Amino acid sequence: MRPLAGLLAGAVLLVGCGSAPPSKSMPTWVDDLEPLAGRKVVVMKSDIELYVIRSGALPELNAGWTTSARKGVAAFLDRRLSAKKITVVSAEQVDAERKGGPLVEQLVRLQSVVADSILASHFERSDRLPTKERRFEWSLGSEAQALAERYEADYALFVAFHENYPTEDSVGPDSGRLSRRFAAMSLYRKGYAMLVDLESGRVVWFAERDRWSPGLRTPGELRTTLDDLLENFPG
Amino acid sequence: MRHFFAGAVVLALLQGCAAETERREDRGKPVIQAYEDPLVRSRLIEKTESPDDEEDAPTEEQARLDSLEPGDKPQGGSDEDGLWMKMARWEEDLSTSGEVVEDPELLAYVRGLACRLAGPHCPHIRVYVISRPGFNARMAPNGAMEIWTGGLLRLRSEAELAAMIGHELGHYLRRHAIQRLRSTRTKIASFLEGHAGTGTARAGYRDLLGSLSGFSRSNEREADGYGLQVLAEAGYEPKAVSELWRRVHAEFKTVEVYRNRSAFYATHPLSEERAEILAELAEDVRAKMAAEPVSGRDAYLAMIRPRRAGYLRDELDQRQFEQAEALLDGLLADDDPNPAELHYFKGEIHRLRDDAGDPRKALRSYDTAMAAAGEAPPELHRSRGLLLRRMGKGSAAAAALAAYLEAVPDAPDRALVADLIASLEGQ
Repeated sequence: MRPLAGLLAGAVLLVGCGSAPPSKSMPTWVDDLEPLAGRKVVVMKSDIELYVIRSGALPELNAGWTTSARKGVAAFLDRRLSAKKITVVSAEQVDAERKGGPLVEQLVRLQSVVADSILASHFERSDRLPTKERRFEWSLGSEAQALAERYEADYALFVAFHENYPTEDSVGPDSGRLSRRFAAMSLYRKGYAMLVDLESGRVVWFAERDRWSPGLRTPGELRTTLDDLLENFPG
Repeated sequence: MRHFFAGAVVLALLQGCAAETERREDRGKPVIQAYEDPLVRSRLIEKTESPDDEEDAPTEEQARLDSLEPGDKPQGGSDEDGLWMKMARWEEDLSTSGEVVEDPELLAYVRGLACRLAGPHCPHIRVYVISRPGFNARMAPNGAMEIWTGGLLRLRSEAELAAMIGHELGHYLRRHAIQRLRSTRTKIASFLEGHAGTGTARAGYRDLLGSLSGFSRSNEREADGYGLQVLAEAGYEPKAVSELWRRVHAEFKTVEVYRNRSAFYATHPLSEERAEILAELAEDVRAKMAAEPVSGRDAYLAMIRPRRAGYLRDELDQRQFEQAEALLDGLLADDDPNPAELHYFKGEIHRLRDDAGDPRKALRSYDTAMAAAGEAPPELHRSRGLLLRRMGKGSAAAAALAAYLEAVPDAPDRALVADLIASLEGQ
C-alpha cells in the first residue's frame, strides 16, 4: 500500500507543478530583443474594465474602479518606462488632438486578437499550436508601421485588464452554496502587457497577469499587480 | 455560464425590461410629453395587460425612476454610471467597426429627423446608420442609437421612420436599460436564494432563462407609446406605426425562427396584437391633432430608393429566401416606380436558392425585370447569362453576358466573363 500511496503523492505533486503559472516555463520574448533605453515607446490607450459581482452574480462594470485604474495604469507606465530612460509617448494625448485613421483602429483591434491568441495558444498547455512548439513568434504584420508613423515611436506597449470582483455578500458565508458557486463561475481575470516592434510588427515581449496579483482597485493593489506584470520588462 | 451573464448584460444595455408607467412617480417634468397623454397611457396598459405581465412587474425602485432630463448623466459610481461607461465602449467599437454608413446626405436626413423628434435632447443623441440586413434599430442608455439599413429598407415613409426613432427615444428617456439591469440582478439573486440547497436549481435555472429573455415586453409597449406620441407631436400620421407593424409581421412570419418566437418575438409583443392596439390608439391620437397629419412618403422614398439595391443585396446575402421574397412582394405591391429592380432581386432569390423549378422562375423574373418600368442593376445580364448557361442555352447565355460587359465596361470581373463568353461561343 505504501508504494501506491507514494505514487499517488508523486502524481499529485506532478499535477501541482503542471498547474503552476506557465509564463515561468515558456519564453515570452524574442531572442534578439534589444535594450529600450533611448528608444521611443508609445503607450497605447489601456483596455481596462473592472466589474463588480453583486449578489445577483451579474458582472456589472464599475465606473469608479475602472476610471481610477485607467489613470493609475497610465501614470505607473509613464514613471516605470521613464525610469528606464525610455521616451514615452502617450497615444491618448495624440488621439485627443487628432483622430487615427481606419488602419490605426484596425491595428488596435488586431493586437487584442493576437494577445488573446498568445494567451490561449502559447500559455495554455491544452491549446498549444503543435507546429509552433515553444517558439515565441507572433506579429501584427508590417502594417504596424502605421502606428510608428502616427505616434513617431519605435515600439508600442499595449496593456489590458478585464477583471471581475465579487462583493462580500455574494461570496460570504450567508450567501448560500449556490450563490457562491455562481459568483465563482462568474469570476474572470484577464490581463496582459504586450510590446510590439513597430518597424517589423513583431511582438517582442509579452507578459500575462500573475494570477495571484491582487488587481487594480486600489493604488496599492495596482502597484503590486503592475510590478508583477512588468517584472521582466526589457530595460 | 459567464457567457450567459455577459449576454444578459449586453441585452440589458440595448433593450429594456419591465415597467408599467402607471406606477412610476416622475418627479422631473418630461421634456417630451410622449406617453404623458393619460388616454393613450391608460388604454395602452388596459389593452395589453396579460397574465404574462405579472412577471414583468417592476420593483418599487424601478417604478420610481425619473425620465431623463436633457443632459442628465448618471450619478458617479452608480450602477447606471457603469452601464453608460460600458456603452461608451460599445459605441467606440461600433463607430470604428466599418459597419457605420458614411453617406452624408442620408445621415443628415436621418439625424435631422431624430434631432427634431428629440427636441431639447438632440445634443445628447447620436444616431448611427449601420449597414446590416434585418429589421432593427437599437438605443443604448447613453444616447447612442443605431438604425440598420435593413430597417430603412422596410419603412415606407418619414412617419414610419419617426415612429421607429420615437420608439428608441422612449427606451432612452425612460431609462429602460438600467431598469432591465436591476431587474435581471434581482431575478438572479431571487433565484439563487430560492434554490439554495433545494436541489431544484436546474429546473429553476431554465425558468430563470425564460423570464430573462421575455421580460422586456412591457418596456417595448411603453416605447411604442412614446413613438406614437412623438410622431404625432411632429405632425406625422399616427396610423403609420400600426401599418409598419402589420407589414413587419407579414414578412417575419415567413421565417421559421420567428414563427417559433425564439428571437424577435421574445422581446417584442406579437406584431398582430401590437398592430391592432396601435391602430386603435392612433385613431384617438389622430382625433386630437390640430392639423391634418402628413406621411412624408415622397421625401422618404426619394432618399431610400436610390440606395435600395445595396440594402437588398445585403438581405439576399443572409439567404433567408422566404423572408426576402415576402419583403420584395410587399415592395412590389406598394406601387413602386422601379419594379425592374425588384423583379431582378426576385430572380436572384430563385437563382441562388436553385431548388426544383427555381431556374425557370428566375428566368421569368429576369425577363419581367427587363420589360418592367424603371431600371434594374446591370448585373441582371450577368445573372441571366449564368442561368442560361446552366440551363444549357449557350448562345443565349453568351449574348446575355455580352450585354453585361456592354452595360458595365469597367466591370471588375470583365476578364472572367469575356473568357466565359469565348468558351460558350466555341461550343
